[in-house]
Amino acid sequence: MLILDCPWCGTRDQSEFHCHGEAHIARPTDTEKMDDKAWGEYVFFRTNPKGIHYERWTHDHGCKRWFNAVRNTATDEFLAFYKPGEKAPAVGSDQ
Amino acid sequence: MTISTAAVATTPLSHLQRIAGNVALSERELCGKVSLRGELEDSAFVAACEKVLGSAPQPTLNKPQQLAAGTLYWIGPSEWLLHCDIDTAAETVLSLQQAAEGAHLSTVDVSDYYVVLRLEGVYAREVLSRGTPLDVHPRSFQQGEAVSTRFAKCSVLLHAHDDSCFDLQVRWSHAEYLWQFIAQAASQYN
Repeated sequence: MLILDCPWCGTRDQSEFHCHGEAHIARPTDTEKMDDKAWGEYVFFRTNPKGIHYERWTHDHGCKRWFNAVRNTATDEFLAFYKPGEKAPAVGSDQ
Repeated sequence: MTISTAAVATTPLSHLQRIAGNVALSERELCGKVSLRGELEDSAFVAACEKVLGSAPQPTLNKPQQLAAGTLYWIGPSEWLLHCDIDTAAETVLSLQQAAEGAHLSTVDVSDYYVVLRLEGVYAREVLSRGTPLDVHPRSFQQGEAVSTRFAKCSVLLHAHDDSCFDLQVRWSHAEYLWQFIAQAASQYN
């Protein structure tokens, strides 16, 4: 069982949340020049690291808002929570 | 002729018998619900709320505000829900929209989106703990607090009126499922 800190509601159980995959994937700006390979990489390919992972989450059963979390995928330990638009914190071995 | 909405309204729980005993379960009379969205930094939004609701919404987490217009729940940043008399909900929405001239404000009459269940009795907290991951011990979920959380498979707005009286606001179509879940959880205490 995981415990998350929603940046708005506070500490809640994992079952109130949903993870939406990797965070900070910027939409390309020059889309008219992109080929299929570049589109494929933007849409489908993710870093899938063992270790520090920056993720997007929603608090579905609480405030229903999006936020970001930093999680160690090997230990399931959460290292930071921050609101959308805030700068991603440098944590752990990522520093 | 004016027909009272509450007098003719039926809910998904209208056919169910209230449960009495150590844990009592009943449906609260249908009340008006008004969703309200806006930014507290927007002075026009705050002014419109003060004019219509009697006071400005507060960003206070878990603490419902008692206003002239009714009870105002914090739902999320920039979002509130007003519980008021069913007959004044539509009027409140209209007044807010008119008062919001120029303000970035969104308000909708959501009276028929939700049903409110009332759970009472000395074992009410035990029954709550059967369905929610929230810590419902009095040290963490105190009298007067309201929290949006999960109960069984539904999203609920849980309000602790006092130590043995709780309201659960749930989506209209989930209401009967939630009722049956609580009725079963309560059966061991009755």
